[in-house]
Amino acid sequence: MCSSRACGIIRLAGFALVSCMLYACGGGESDGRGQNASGAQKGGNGALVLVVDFERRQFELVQGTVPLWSVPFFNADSTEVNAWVESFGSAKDQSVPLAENILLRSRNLLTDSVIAIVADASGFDAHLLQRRIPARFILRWEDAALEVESPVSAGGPGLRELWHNARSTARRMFGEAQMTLVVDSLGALTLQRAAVPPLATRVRPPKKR
Amino acid sequence: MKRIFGVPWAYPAAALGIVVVLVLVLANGAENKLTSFSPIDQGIGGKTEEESPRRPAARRKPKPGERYVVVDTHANRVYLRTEDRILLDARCSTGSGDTLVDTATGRVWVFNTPRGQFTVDSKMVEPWWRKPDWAFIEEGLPPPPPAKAHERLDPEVMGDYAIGFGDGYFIHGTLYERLLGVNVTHGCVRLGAKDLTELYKQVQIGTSVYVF
Repeated sequence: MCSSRACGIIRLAGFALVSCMLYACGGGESDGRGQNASGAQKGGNGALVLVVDFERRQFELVQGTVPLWSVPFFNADSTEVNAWVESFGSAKDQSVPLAENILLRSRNLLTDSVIAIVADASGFDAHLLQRRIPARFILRWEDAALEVESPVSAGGPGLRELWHNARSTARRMFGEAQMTLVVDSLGALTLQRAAVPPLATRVRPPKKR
Repeated sequence: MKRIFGVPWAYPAAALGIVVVLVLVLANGAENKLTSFSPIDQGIGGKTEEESPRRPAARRKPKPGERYVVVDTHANRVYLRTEDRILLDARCSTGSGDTLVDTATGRVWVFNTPRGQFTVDSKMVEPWWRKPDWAFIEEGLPPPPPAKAHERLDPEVMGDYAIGFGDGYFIHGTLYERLLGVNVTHGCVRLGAKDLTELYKQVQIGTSVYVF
């Protein structure tokens, strides 16, 4: 039909067209938390990074190198930690993108009656004003996962949670490193909402003794 | 038509593709401009204690020991901190994420608190609010014409101080302290009176503000 160079030019133009259509249509993506939830950052000294710091036993959010927020975690067994860090697989100062953030169990921050009053007074949709305090959620990277729990009473596990338990068991059998950490409830709220894939994540291993 | 590589329409097809791409990119830019319309577009006034010159805010890393402000929009907290110490931890209210559409003109407002790094660019005492169009549209009222601009002024709602951090966004007070901790604002950051006074005293023009 046409020469190979001509076909190449046409393919290139087509590729540019499709790429830009995807770019143009991607601006409206929403996960129900408003347009900023994807972690879009305006300028500044680098993007938001999650640091899992086993040296100081805390989750930390930094922008570039500036510490913004941290929450201590508990329940980190040293043998488990070393195996997990090894599986996480990032070299020093290299980050790995967060692949999944799955909220399994939560409790509403405000009661229904309070949120109804606030929504009525402010004129905003109740679902936009409500925040859920996570009781249990999973952060998952390529070869490692962290289950984060907070001391919030949120009822028993639902079907979704049972399905994810089965999925986690299967992934563990295929070599995924898993560990459970506990944080306070306010810390869990920020961590769960700020950890939007593909948030860059770094791990600081524990000090060797 | 001149034949190129044996195909008469190869270059015109490529040129058409590039033109379509440019149109799409420009259209997307225009849309973003519309939806990121600053909620406080018509401003805030008052006794300006300090104000930076009108130039882009400098983006720089705070020096060791230097104070900076962090706004956690997820848990609705404001921190004044240094790299290793938290000096103030206050409950606040940030943007609701709600969208308002003016059906008459098609204008759209998204009430989010912007994320990223900013710097304090103004400090005001006894600020008053010059209500923007959306404040009237939200209440089902028509915005007043320029001849009745005084109808936009509200000296009560902003509290004792306002700290500007760019693009028309401010950290200011509120009449509704019971709503602190809930995402109810149109994009600004509301603080309780005591915490606002403390923060106002401790930040300077140029202090970094990080919002996440």
